[in-house]
Amino acid sequence: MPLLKFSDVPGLREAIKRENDIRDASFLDINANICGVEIRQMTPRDLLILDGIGNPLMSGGLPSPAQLADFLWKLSPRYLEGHSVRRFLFARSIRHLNYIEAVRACLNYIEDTFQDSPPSSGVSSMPYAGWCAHLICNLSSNPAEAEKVILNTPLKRLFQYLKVLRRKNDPDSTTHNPSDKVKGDYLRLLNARQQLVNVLKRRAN
Amino acid sequence: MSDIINDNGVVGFTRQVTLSTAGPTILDDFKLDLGSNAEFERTNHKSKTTGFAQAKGILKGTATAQLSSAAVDPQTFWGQTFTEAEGTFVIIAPIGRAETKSGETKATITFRQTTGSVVLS
Repeated sequence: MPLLKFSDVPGLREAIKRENDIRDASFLDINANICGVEIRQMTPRDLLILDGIGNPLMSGGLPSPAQLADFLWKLSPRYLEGHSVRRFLFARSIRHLNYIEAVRACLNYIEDTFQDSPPSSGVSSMPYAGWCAHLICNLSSNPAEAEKVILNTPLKRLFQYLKVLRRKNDPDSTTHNPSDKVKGDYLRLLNARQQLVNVLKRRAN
Repeated sequence: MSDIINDNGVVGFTRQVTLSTAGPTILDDFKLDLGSNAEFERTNHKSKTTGFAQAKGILKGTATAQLSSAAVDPQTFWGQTFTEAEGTFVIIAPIGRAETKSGETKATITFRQTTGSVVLS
């Protein structure tokens, strides 16, 4: 079986289409919808703030209702820093939000945002600069000039740029996609089947 | 939104191979190149060309191997063989460092067509 076909792996075609749709949509500035509440695409600046204030959603945890409201407010297209009246009106408008559904939608939103983020090689080194500095320097030859633009560009786009640049610099570099999970499950099934066949063969002999 | 651009339902450049020891493995970005030919020139005592011989190169390739789990060390793939329509290949160095994301681990591998076998003891 040399070439892998979509029909060989159940769900692979759908998974690839989904990840491609998320990539394309990121270039159209389409807002996400969290149970009827519109939020922008997350930028490095948003990530710095949300991670900095320790919002549990950023680490896959469960937020308090106030933290959930804060997450939605900071990413709201109506967000204005230090504007307490707007914030109060926003909080009032979302007070009937279904907590479970909203948290689930926020976690999906974060997962989609990071679908093309760089993988881990398991090799850690002493940090000598912040992740934003690495991001900006990788994407621009003039960091000081590009800084503002990059910090306000959706992460979904920046991660795609990083992937393309990496492949451009090293054509044999590995790339990860969410659809790898579907292929991985298929691979593990094949291996388990092979092991079972080997056991049965040994018993038969 | 874009649709998948692949004819006949084939995932571009992805192959499923069976490694001699590790078993079924998925190889993404499967690339094969015919290695450069070797050329020999024959000359006379005045270094004037009197003929030449050319040896055909052999197939070499690279791919990204998806490992069944993060516990699999890709370095153990070294020396394993697999057979494709183009021939039988043996995995050689360099083998890339494994990278993991969302529970899936991948590593780049390099391979070349086998032209015979030698058993070392």
